[in-house]
Amino acid sequence: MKKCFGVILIASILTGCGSLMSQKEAELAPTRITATTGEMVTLPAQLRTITNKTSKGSYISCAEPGPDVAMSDTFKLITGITTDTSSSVNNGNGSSATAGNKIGLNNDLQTSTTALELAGRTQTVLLAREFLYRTCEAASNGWIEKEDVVKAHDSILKNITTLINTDNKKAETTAAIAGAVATGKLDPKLLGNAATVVSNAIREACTKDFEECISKAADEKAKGACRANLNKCLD
Amino acid sequence: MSTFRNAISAAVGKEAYFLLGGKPMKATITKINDDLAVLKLSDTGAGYSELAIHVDKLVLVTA
Repeated sequence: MKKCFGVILIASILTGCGSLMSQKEAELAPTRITATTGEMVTLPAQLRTITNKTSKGSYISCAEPGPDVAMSDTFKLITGITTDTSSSVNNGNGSSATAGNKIGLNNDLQTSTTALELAGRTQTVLLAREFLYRTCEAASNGWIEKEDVVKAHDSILKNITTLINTDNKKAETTAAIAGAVATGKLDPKLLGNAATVVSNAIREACTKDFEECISKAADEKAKGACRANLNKCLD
Repeated sequence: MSTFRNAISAAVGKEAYFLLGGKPMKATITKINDDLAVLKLSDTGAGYSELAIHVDKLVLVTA
Protein backbone atom coordinates (compact mmCIF):
# COMPACT_ATOMS: atom_id res chain seq x y z
CA MET A 1 0.00 0.00 0.00
CA LYS A 2 1.28 3.33 -0.80
CA LYS A 3 2.42 5.25 2.07
CA CYS A 4 1.81 8.87 2.20
CA PHE A 5 4.62 10.77 3.75
CA GLY A 6 4.29 14.41 4.56
CA VAL A 7 6.59 16.76 6.33
CA ILE A 8 5.14 19.79 7.96
CA LEU A 9 7.41 22.52 9.13
CA ILE A 10 5.90 24.58 11.83
CA ALA A 11 7.16 28.04 12.54
CA SER A 12 5.60 31.35 13.28
CA ILE A 13 4.87 33.43 10.27
CA LEU A 14 5.50 37.12 10.49
CA THR A 15 4.34 39.43 7.80
CA GLY A 16 5.97 42.56 6.60
CA CYS A 17 9.54 41.76 7.55
CA GLY A 18 9.81 38.19 6.36
CA SER A 19 13.17 38.53 4.69
CA LEU A 20 14.80 39.94 7.85
CA MET A 21 13.47 37.36 10.35
CA SER A 22 15.50 34.38 11.56
CA GLN A 23 12.45 32.16 11.84
CA LYS A 24 11.55 30.77 8.46
CA GLU A 25 8.15 30.39 6.94
CA ALA A 26 6.45 27.03 7.05
CA GLU A 27 6.10 25.09 3.84
CA LEU A 28 4.27 21.95 2.97
CA ALA A 29 6.57 19.88 0.80
CA PRO A 30 5.26 16.42 0.01
CA THR A 31 7.92 14.06 -1.31
CA ARG A 32 7.66 10.73 -2.99
CA ILE A 33 10.57 8.37 -2.38
CA THR A 34 11.10 5.53 -4.83
CA ALA A 35 13.22 2.45 -4.38
CA THR A 36 15.93 3.79 -6.65
CA THR A 37 16.24 7.34 -5.37
CA GLY A 38 16.82 8.85 -2.01
CA GLU A 39 16.85 12.37 -0.78
CA MET A 40 18.45 14.52 1.86
CA VAL A 41 16.44 17.14 3.70
CA THR A 42 18.20 19.93 5.55
CA LEU A 43 16.49 22.22 7.99
CA PRO A 44 17.52 25.24 10.06
CA ALA A 45 18.38 24.29 13.64
CA GLN A 46 15.68 26.43 15.16
CA LEU A 47 12.85 24.55 13.46
CA ARG A 48 10.98 21.62 14.86
CA THR A 49 9.50 18.94 12.62
CA ILE A 50 6.39 16.87 13.07
CA THR A 51 6.08 13.88 10.80
CA ASN A 52 2.63 12.56 10.06
CA LYS A 53 2.38 9.19 8.40
CA THR A 54 -0.50 6.97 7.43
CA SER A 55 -0.03 3.27 6.94
CA LYS A 56 -2.59 0.50 6.58
CA GLY A 57 -5.35 2.75 7.84
CA SER A 58 -3.48 3.85 10.97
CA TYR A 59 -1.99 7.22 11.67
CA ILE A 60 1.44 7.81 13.22
CA SER A 61 2.58 11.22 14.34
CA CYS A 62 6.06 11.85 15.71
CA ALA A 63 7.05 15.27 17.03
CA GLU A 64 10.74 16.04 17.14
CA PRO A 65 12.07 17.42 20.45
CA GLY A 66 11.96 21.20 20.48
CA PRO A 67 14.99 23.11 19.22
CA ASP A 68 17.78 23.98 21.64
CA VAL A 69 18.41 27.35 20.12
CA ALA A 70 16.04 30.19 19.42
CA MET A 71 16.86 33.18 17.33
CA SER A 72 16.08 36.61 18.65
CA ASP A 73 15.87 39.48 16.26
CA THR A 74 16.22 43.01 17.41
CA PHE A 75 15.16 45.95 15.37
CA LYS A 76 16.11 49.38 16.35
CA LEU A 77 14.85 52.24 14.34
CA ILE A 78 16.77 55.35 15.11
CA THR A 79 14.96 58.36 13.97
CA GLY A 80 16.28 61.80 14.30
CA ILE A 81 14.62 64.92 13.19
CA THR A 82 16.58 68.08 13.16
CA THR A 83 15.18 71.49 12.64
CA ASP A 84 16.97 74.65 12.08
CA THR A 85 14.79 77.67 12.18
CA SER A 86 16.17 81.12 12.05
CA SER A 87 14.44 84.41 11.67
CA SER A 88 15.40 87.97 12.15
CA VAL A 89 13.36 91.03 12.15
CA ASN A 90 14.82 94.44 12.09
CA ASN A 91 12.27 97.07 12.56
CA GLY A 92 13.27 100.40 11.47
CA ASN A 93 13.99 102.29 8.38
CA GLY A 94 14.57 99.88 5.60
CA SER A 95 14.01 97.07 7.88
CA SER A 96 14.03 93.67 6.47
CA ALA A 97 12.97 90.34 7.80
CA THR A 98 14.42 87.05 6.89
CA ALA A 99 13.25 83.62 7.83
CA GLY A 100 14.59 80.24 7.05
CA ASN A 101 13.56 76.78 7.95
CA LYS A 102 15.41 73.56 7.34
CA ILE A 103 14.12 70.17 8.34
CA GLY A 104 16.24 67.06 8.05
CA LEU A 105 15.17 63.45 8.56
CA ASN A 106 17.67 60.80 9.43
CA ASN A 107 16.56 57.16 9.53
CA ASP A 108 18.94 54.41 10.48
CA LEU A 109 17.69 50.87 10.76
CA GLN A 110 19.89 48.69 12.94
CA THR A 111 19.35 44.96 13.17
CA SER A 112 21.03 42.25 15.11
CA THR A 113 20.30 38.60 15.53
CA THR A 114 21.29 36.71 18.62
CA ALA A 115 21.24 32.99 19.11
CA LEU A 116 19.71 32.31 22.50
CA GLU A 117 20.54 29.10 24.30
CA LEU A 118 17.31 27.84 25.78
CA ALA A 119 17.57 26.93 29.44
CA GLY A 120 16.42 23.84 31.31
CA ARG A 121 18.02 21.28 29.04
CA THR A 122 20.01 18.97 31.28
CA GLN A 123 21.74 15.93 29.82
CA THR A 124 19.04 13.69 31.26
CA VAL A 125 16.26 15.72 29.68
CA LEU A 126 17.97 15.79 26.27
CA LEU A 127 18.66 12.05 26.34
CA ALA A 128 15.11 11.19 27.38
CA ARG A 129 13.56 13.34 24.67
CA GLU A 130 15.88 11.92 22.03
CA PHE A 131 15.08 8.31 22.98
CA LEU A 132 11.34 8.92 22.99
CA TYR A 133 11.50 10.52 19.56
CA ARG A 134 13.71 7.80 18.08
CA THR A 135 11.36 5.11 19.38
CA CYS A 136 8.48 6.83 17.61
CA GLU A 137 10.59 7.20 14.48
CA ALA A 138 11.51 3.50 14.53
CA ALA A 139 7.85 2.55 14.88
CA SER A 140 6.94 4.95 12.08
CA ASN A 141 9.55 3.34 9.81
CA GLY A 142 8.22 -0.13 10.60
CA TRP A 143 11.34 -1.24 12.48
CA ILE A 144 9.51 -2.03 15.71
CA GLU A 145 5.93 -3.04 16.45
CA LYS A 146 3.38 -1.14 18.51
CA GLU A 147 3.82 -3.39 21.57
CA ASP A 148 7.59 -2.82 21.51
CA VAL A 149 7.01 0.95 21.65
CA VAL A 150 5.30 0.55 25.05
CA LYS A 151 8.16 -1.67 26.28
CA ALA A 152 10.71 0.84 25.02
CA HIS A 153 8.94 3.68 26.84
CA ASP A 154 8.96 1.67 30.10
CA SER A 155 12.66 1.00 29.70
CA ILE A 156 13.39 4.67 28.95
CA LEU A 157 11.46 5.77 32.06
CA LYS A 158 13.38 3.31 34.27
CA ASN A 159 16.71 4.50 32.90
CA ILE A 160 15.70 8.14 33.32
CA THR A 161 14.90 7.44 37.00
CA THR A 162 18.36 5.89 37.45
CA LEU A 163 20.00 8.86 35.75
CA ILE A 164 18.07 11.31 37.92
CA ASN A 165 19.10 9.42 41.09
CA THR A 166 22.75 9.53 39.98
CA ASP A 167 22.44 13.25 39.26
CA ASN A 168 20.92 13.78 42.71
CA LYS A 169 23.74 11.88 44.43
CA LYS A 170 26.34 13.89 42.54
CA ALA A 171 24.59 17.10 43.56
CA GLU A 172 24.51 15.99 47.21
CA THR A 173 28.22 15.14 47.19
CA THR A 174 29.06 18.47 45.59
CA ALA A 175 26.91 20.28 48.14
CA ALA A 176 28.57 18.41 51.02
CA ILE A 177 32.03 19.29 49.80
CA ALA A 178 30.97 22.89 49.20
CA GLY A 179 29.53 23.00 52.69
CA ALA A 180 32.75 21.73 54.19
CA VAL A 181 34.78 24.26 52.27
CA ALA A 182 32.62 27.21 53.33
CA THR A 183 34.12 29.44 56.01
CA GLY A 184 33.46 28.27 59.53
CA LYS A 185 32.09 24.89 58.49
CA LEU A 186 35.23 22.88 59.29
CA ASP A 187 35.41 21.50 62.80
CA PRO A 188 37.43 24.12 64.76
CA LYS A 189 38.60 21.51 67.27
CA LEU A 190 40.30 19.48 64.54
CA LEU A 191 41.82 22.62 63.09
CA GLY A 192 43.07 23.57 66.55
CA ASN A 193 44.62 20.13 67.09
CA ALA A 194 46.40 20.35 63.75
CA ALA A 195 47.66 23.82 64.58
CA THR A 196 49.02 22.45 67.88
CA VAL A 197 51.00 19.60 66.30
CA VAL A 198 52.49 22.00 63.75
CA SER A 199 53.38 24.49 66.48
CA ASN A 200 55.00 21.77 68.59
CA ALA A 201 57.02 20.50 65.65
CA ILE A 202 58.28 24.00 64.92
CA ARG A 203 59.15 24.56 68.61
CA GLU A 204 61.03 21.27 68.70
CA ALA A 205 63.01 22.12 65.58
CA CYS A 206 63.83 25.59 66.89
CA THR A 207 64.95 24.17 70.24
CA LYS A 208 67.15 21.58 68.53
CA ASP A 209 68.82 24.27 66.42
CA PHE A 210 69.31 26.41 69.54
CA GLU A 211 70.94 23.56 71.45
CA GLU A 212 73.32 22.88 68.59
CA CYS A 213 74.10 26.59 68.33
CA ILE A 214 74.77 26.97 72.08
CA SER A 215 77.02 23.93 72.16
CA LYS A 216 79.21 25.48 69.47
CA ALA A 217 79.06 29.07 70.79
CA ALA A 218 82.54 30.26 71.75
CA ASP A 219 81.60 33.33 73.74
CA GLU A 220 78.68 35.29 75.13
CA LYS A 221 78.28 37.21 71.92
CA ALA A 222 77.79 33.97 69.99
CA LYS A 223 75.42 32.68 72.66
CA GLY A 224 73.42 35.90 72.37
CA ALA A 225 73.12 35.32 68.65
CA CYS A 226 71.84 31.79 69.34
CA ARG A 227 69.16 33.17 71.67
CA ALA A 228 68.14 35.79 69.11
CA ASN A 229 67.79 33.11 66.47
CA LEU A 230 65.66 31.04 68.84
CA ASN A 231 63.32 33.93 69.49
CA LYS A 232 63.05 34.61 65.79
CA CYS A 233 62.36 30.92 65.13
CA LEU A 234 59.59 30.73 67.71
CA ASP A 235 57.99 33.99 66.58
CA MET B 1 63.76 14.04 59.97
CA SER B 2 62.17 17.35 58.79
CA THR B 3 60.03 19.70 60.83
CA PHE B 4 56.98 18.94 58.71
CA ARG B 5 57.48 15.21 59.06
CA ASN B 6 57.81 15.68 62.81
CA ALA B 7 54.47 17.50 62.82
CA ILE B 8 52.84 14.77 60.74
CA SER B 9 54.29 12.08 63.00
CA ALA B 10 52.77 13.83 65.98
CA ALA B 11 49.39 13.83 64.20
CA VAL B 12 49.29 10.04 63.76
CA GLY B 13 46.03 8.62 65.07
CA LYS B 14 44.34 12.03 65.27
CA GLU B 15 41.59 13.23 62.95
CA ALA B 16 42.53 16.29 60.92
CA TYR B 17 41.78 18.06 57.64
CA PHE B 18 44.11 17.46 54.70
CA LEU B 19 43.95 19.26 51.37
CA LEU B 20 43.19 16.53 48.84
CA GLY B 21 42.29 17.47 45.30
CA GLY B 22 42.18 21.10 46.39
CA LYS B 23 39.50 20.45 49.00
CA PRO B 24 39.83 19.95 52.77
CA MET B 25 39.01 16.33 53.57
CA LYS B 26 38.67 14.94 57.06
CA ALA B 27 41.04 12.03 57.56
CA THR B 28 43.27 10.27 60.07
CA ILE B 29 46.89 9.28 59.50
CA THR B 30 46.91 5.67 60.59
CA LYS B 31 50.60 5.04 60.00
CA ILE B 32 53.77 6.57 58.63
CA ASN B 33 56.54 4.45 57.29
CA ASP B 34 59.52 6.42 56.01
CA ASP B 35 57.99 8.63 53.29
CA LEU B 36 54.71 6.76 53.00
CA ALA B 37 51.67 7.94 54.95
CA VAL B 38 48.43 5.97 55.10
CA LEU B 39 45.35 8.14 55.36
CA LYS B 40 41.95 6.85 56.39
CA LEU B 41 39.17 9.10 55.12
CA SER B 42 36.35 9.90 57.51
CA ASP B 43 33.81 10.28 54.69
CA THR B 44 33.42 7.08 52.68
CA GLY B 45 30.86 8.49 50.23
CA ALA B 46 33.37 8.35 47.38
CA GLY B 47 33.54 4.54 47.49
CA TYR B 48 37.05 4.32 48.91
CA SER B 49 38.35 5.03 52.39
CA GLU B 50 42.14 4.67 52.46
CA LEU B 51 44.86 6.50 50.67
CA ALA B 52 48.58 5.86 50.58
CA ILE B 53 50.24 9.18 49.97
CA HIS B 54 53.82 10.45 49.88
CA VAL B 55 54.41 12.38 53.09
CA ASP B 56 55.79 15.34 51.09
CA LYS B 57 52.46 15.64 49.29
CA LEU B 58 50.45 16.06 52.44
CA VAL B 59 48.98 19.46 53.23
CA LEU B 60 47.62 19.86 56.74
CA VAL B 61 44.85 22.41 57.20
CA THR B 62 45.33 24.29 60.46
CA ALA B 63 42.88 27.18 60.24
